Amino acid sequence: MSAGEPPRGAQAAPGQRLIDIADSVDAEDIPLFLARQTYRRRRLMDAARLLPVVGLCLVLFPLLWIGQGEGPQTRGGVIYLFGIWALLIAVAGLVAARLSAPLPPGTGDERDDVV
Amino acid sequence: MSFNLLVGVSLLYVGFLFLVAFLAERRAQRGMPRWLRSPMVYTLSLSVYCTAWTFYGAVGYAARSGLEYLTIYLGPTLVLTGWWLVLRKLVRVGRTQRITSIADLISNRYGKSNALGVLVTLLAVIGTTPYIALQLQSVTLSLEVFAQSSGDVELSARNALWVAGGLALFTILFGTRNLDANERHHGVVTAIAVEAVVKLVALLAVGIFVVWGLAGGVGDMLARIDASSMADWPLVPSRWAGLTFLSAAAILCLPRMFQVLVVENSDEAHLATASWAFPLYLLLMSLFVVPIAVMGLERLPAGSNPDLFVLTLPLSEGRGGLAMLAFLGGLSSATSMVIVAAIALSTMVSNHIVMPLWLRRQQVGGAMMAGDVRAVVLTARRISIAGVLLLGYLYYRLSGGSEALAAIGLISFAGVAQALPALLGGLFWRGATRKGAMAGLVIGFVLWAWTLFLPSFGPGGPIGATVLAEGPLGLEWLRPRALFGIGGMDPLVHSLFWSIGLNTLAFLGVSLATFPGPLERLQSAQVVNVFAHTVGARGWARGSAEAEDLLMMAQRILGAQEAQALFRREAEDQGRQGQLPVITADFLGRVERELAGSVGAATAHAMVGQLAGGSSVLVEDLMRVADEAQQILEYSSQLEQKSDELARTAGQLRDANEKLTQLSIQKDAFLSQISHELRTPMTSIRSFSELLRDGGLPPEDQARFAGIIHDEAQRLTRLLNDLLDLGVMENAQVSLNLGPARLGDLIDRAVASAAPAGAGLKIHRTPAREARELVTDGDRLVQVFINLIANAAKYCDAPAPELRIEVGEEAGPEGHELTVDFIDNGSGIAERSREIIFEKFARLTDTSAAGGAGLGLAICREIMARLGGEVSYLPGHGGAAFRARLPLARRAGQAA
Repeated sequence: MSAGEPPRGAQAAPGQRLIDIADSVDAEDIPLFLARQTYRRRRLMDAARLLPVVGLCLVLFPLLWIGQGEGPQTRGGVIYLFGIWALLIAVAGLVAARLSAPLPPGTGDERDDVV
Repeated sequence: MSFNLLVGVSLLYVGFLFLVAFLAERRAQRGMPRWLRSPMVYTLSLSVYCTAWTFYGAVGYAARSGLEYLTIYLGPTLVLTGWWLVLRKLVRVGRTQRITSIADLISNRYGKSNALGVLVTLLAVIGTTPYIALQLQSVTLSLEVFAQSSGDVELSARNALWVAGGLALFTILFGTRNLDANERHHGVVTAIAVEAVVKLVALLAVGIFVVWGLAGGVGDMLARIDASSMADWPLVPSRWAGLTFLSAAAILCLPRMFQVLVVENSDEAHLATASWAFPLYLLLMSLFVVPIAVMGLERLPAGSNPDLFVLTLPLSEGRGGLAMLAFLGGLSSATSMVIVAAIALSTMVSNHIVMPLWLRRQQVGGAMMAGDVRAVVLTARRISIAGVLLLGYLYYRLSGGSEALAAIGLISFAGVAQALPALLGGLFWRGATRKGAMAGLVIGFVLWAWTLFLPSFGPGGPIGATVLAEGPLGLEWLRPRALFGIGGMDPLVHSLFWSIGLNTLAFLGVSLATFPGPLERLQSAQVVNVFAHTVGARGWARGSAEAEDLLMMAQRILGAQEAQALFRREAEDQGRQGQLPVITADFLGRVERELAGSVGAATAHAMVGQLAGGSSVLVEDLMRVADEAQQILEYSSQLEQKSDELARTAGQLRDANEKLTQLSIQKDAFLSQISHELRTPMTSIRSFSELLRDGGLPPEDQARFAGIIHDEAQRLTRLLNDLLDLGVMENAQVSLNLGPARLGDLIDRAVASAAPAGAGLKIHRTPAREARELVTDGDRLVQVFINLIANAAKYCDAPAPELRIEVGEEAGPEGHELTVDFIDNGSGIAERSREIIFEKFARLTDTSAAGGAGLGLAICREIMARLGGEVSYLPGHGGAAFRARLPLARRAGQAA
């Protein structure tokens, strides 16, 4: 068999197709439960990942209402855009400060793939 | 205000920047002060994103298209706030792989392919040249504004040449001072941070003047916005989304942004600060754009260039100082962009185009020196910088410098954004291949050039009005503004969609279909899984904290005393008694050599590299490590083999020694035995001969005593004969009397001689099987048989001793062999004794009944060896069993 085969438990049974094989997640390697502190840090990383997505939605939001209503809209646009901009900066500052804060001694926490 | 004053202040300002760069460079060389590496300096250096296009152009953009200008800042804001996703990885990869430019990153990721490096470099040069022209144009335009206002109108395009020349000088001075392995330029970065502050302050000052000086505060300003021609927001949804995407892509792909974001980054934590501080900077930069635009439209005469409102508005209000500050801000924006772009492009051009060519020529020419290369790289960079600026100047002259600033900026953005699929795909997808990246880049580049770049030269350019309207050679579906016949889109969005879309599609499709090379796959794992095998170190700048780590590592390998002595010597040489030495390149080299003596050159290099550069191990290093490990492995397996051999030899020696010791004991026993054996007959001979000499004995006694003396003398003779026999036999001096003989007769003779009837030993024979003819020395063979039979007679300890003589035949190594077995019914010979019964002087018991000297079996073995056979002990037959083996000369047997 070819060399690219997954090492353990992956011997193809007769009649097995590619669609029958689940994506192999290194489940043994990943702890199921995390300490409360570590769990909080994971959610912080999630927040950091989500921030640009939320930001994008907010930036694209004017597409839904500009040109729909009556009257001049630049004024509203300016206030809205600078408002969400400031909000994004504030949240990013909060997340960044907490992400770059030094870890308490003795809590090595290198991986960020653990949920 | 006077134009000359303006020029004077500008020159002063430029001189001040020179000073800042010079001082920062000098401080950096002496050891990095903390502020030089602070996250704020890093964030401010990112402001090269805000060029003169932003400084002047944003107001013009807003005056033309409303709030659309904000997309140019919102895209980067999204990228920066999403730093955890992309930028963090980009910076980590840049540090671990010693990336020097975006071309280097893409080439490195796809198996260090130089073709890709060249492609990205070309893309970057073509995409950046108009942008540099744009900066020159803005400086010239702003100078012209002052010249007109002061009535001095003898200015010409020569200004741009002066500006370009000055910028080239500054860039060469500070951008190519040294060849740092990390490609960091502290002087330039510091100067740019200062310029960032100047342009922010300038724009804020103009903005504050407009809102609180000209208008009556925020409320009044908002009212004026409502009242102005900008009140309506002509939002084009496709452009809004497209431009946001484009600016987000540009901040990742622009060579100058890559330079300040990734290459000049000395600590990943700075990215965290920049993630909010840079968006804040952008917000402040764009905060007053709309008010300035509105006020400009309101106050300045119709037809004034809105791109210059930032300057003309204060001038028209008679605020000369403010106008000068604004001019300096614009100058700062232009110069910082040009300097960083020139450094980034020159690095790419020299690394990916000039050096490979030079090395190829050099290989033909002959050997080269290491110092040579440094000089060549520096020269190549300097020439590249001058070349890039010259290109920008030429573009400026050729394009006539008339177009709206924003248009050029966006065309440039779209060009460099073509690297985005290869960049992001390379960072996150291990399946991305070199061929895929190549295909995507080529297709994207061609489509961008066809649909956006070439048409931008106008109807007089390479693409005429007819081609624009009808397509090349009348092929309608190739019209630059309506590819595949789908028209009506905004030209920029149209170009962006097709170029980036097909670029991505080609990149993905070709990557899926092709197979990457080994180096490519290795690099893909290194880059995509960069967090798996690197630790987010705080950039290993060469500080004193590092000397400790180096010492610790050296101690672990060299031993504490030697390592400390090494460091003490170095510290003394540096004149720093009692302290840790400063880590210099020389010292690192020395430590590496010391370590190499212990762990091998490649490993030492990797270890020191890890500490000193914080960079990852190169493939070549790994291969060398593997080689060394292989050699060590081979050596140790050889050692193992040898030690096995030695162990075997030692075992054999031990066995031999044991045998020798046993034999020596046997010999001692034999000597005492033989002296006893010799003495017993001698004693009786002596005493009986004394009796005879004294006389006076009756004749029958005399006869008996003489008989005893004769018998004893015979016994002695036999003993001596045996000894002699063996000596002769062992020295191979015996000659054999070969002749035909019948086996049965030989056994008859032996039995008659060794165990005459009535001797107590019962002998079983099978005469039919003994009827065989042999060619052998009959007498010698009989001697062997006698010995074996006599042994049975002597040593068989059964109450009714019996001996079976069996004749057989078996296949031996050299044809068929005749076997004659002598098996008695005694208790046999113990296993441990079987080894030595054939040795000389061997005797298992010292029963006096034996009567022999222990030479019998030794003699038998010698005789049988002479006859081409052997005699051996046969285990497993109940009693003692010996087998005599004789080669069966078939011809002789048949002939008989």
